[in-house]
Amino acid sequence: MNKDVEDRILPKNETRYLFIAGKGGVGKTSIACITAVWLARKGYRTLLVTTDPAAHLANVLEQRIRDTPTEIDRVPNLWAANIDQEKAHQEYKKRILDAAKEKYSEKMTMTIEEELNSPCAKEMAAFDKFVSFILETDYDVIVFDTAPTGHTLRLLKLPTDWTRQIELSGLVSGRTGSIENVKEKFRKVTEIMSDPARTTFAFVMYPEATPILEAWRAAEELGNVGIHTNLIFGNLILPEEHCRNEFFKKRKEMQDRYIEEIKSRFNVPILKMLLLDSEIVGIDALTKASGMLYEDGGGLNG
Amino acid sequence: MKKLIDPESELKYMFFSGKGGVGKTSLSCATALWLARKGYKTLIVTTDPAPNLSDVFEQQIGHKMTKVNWVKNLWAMEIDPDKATEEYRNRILDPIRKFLPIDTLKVMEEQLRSPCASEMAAFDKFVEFIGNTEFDIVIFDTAPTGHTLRLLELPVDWSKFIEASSQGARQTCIGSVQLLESAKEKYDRAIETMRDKNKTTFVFVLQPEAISMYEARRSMEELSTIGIDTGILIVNGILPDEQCTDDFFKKRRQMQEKYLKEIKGRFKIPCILVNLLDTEIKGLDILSKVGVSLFGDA
Repeated sequence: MNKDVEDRILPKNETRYLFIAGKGGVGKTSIACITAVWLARKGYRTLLVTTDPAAHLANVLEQRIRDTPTEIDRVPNLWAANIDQEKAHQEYKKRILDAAKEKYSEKMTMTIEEELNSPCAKEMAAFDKFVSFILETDYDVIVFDTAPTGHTLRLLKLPTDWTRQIELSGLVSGRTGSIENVKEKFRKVTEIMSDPARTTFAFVMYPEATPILEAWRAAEELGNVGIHTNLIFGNLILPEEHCRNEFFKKRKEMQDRYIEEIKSRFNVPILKMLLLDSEIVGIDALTKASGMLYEDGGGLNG
Repeated sequence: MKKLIDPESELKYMFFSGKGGVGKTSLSCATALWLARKGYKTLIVTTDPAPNLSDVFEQQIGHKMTKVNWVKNLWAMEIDPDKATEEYRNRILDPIRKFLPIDTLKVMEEQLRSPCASEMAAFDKFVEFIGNTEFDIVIFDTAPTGHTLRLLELPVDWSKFIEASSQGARQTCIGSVQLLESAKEKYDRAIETMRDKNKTTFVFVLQPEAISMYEARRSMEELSTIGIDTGILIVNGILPDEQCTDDFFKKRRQMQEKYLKEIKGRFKIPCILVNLLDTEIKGLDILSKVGVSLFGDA
């Protein structure tokens, strides 16, 4: 494995955090699972935290995953936790609405309720759960199969009156301690996330125009809050040896062109994950895929 | 099938939904070209972050309604979503800036940078076309979600809202801040139009894959909570059978078949399959081929 990539994946003296970002459907969960299996096999105590809404994680890992770290059979050193986004979101909504009901009219509460159905509120709820995992230090590496957006982080950073804020929302706080503690916790988490020595922000995309552009915009937004993308996973890469007729040769050339574009735009190492002839399900398939992604070198490209 | 996109009766608006990268823009452009060739005066509007209509039609388009060269009856327009969101944000905040504490203002500004706010800004642009009599049909290459539309429908007490915001409802991505009383009526009419199947068709674009299918189901269910039914499904990216000579692609093709079967079983609406091409969808020749494969000869 290329040293440059190694530096961005392997833990050193402290816990390493890997955030796998990207739009829905680009393969974040697969890449996160493959990566976690590989790290665990290398001997690092690894925690995989996912927010997989389709709950197919249980299929991929072939075992039931709880919302607290669950030991994975057949892979020593690997634990996984699946944040139930729906549940987290409901809890979060309830916390805010209960407070709001005491203060506002029914009409007003209805509006607040609908606003709490927004994708941003869902993301906040998930982030709230993330935070508790980020502060866990029992692991060498924690892999998150999703990442907060720049917008969420900016919102959380704003200098509002924390007292009122927390009074109404209970966000991030909720359970423990004083407002000072909450502020401190959030400060610590953002500090960790913007420290490249501890955190790696990786984007998953496939080599086509729209996915590249969407990732670029999201990465730019994160850059504005001091979080820099330092790794790219190029997914669904057509394997050259199977592209034998004109049709697939042309598609392959198209992909090559877009890979060049990814390189010049992002200017960070790219790991390429080949398209496979079957879905990646089960520990054996994951182990095999992790060999392809991290060991065979074929995918490696500075 | 044809009836669904034939503006013979009243049909006037089409929305294309689906995740980024599934091919909404190409397919909506192909549909627009097909309709124009059938003789309908057609406008295609995109709010895609990349000004890619220029790429697709191979001519400069831009923020204005622009006649597409060489095609009778076809106009196109690109809306810069960042600019639209900013205009929108200013329209909301300008009248109240001086009444708000600086911290509250900062929070509201950030809230109005949310994805929901961008969607709202795009919807706002759509509203401008409601009641337009210049075109037979207007096509949008993107569509608002059920959440946005539900927000727009809610009654809002503007003054209370600001009060709540100032108390720090920053955990939300406030959409309804935008609901200035005066705009409410316009929005209600727009949503009414979108619900009317004789006037509007929602098209959902997806790929024959597990996650794409799952997301399609979720979005469509959400839209139906506001009384909007998706009229047509387009499954894009099907591997052409005759090209799958290698075992590798034969297996992938079989996987796709499995999902196609599931899609057809699950969604009880007309479903159009579109093959993967060996090129990107650019230029009138390719667009017109795609149009024919979608809807038959023009």
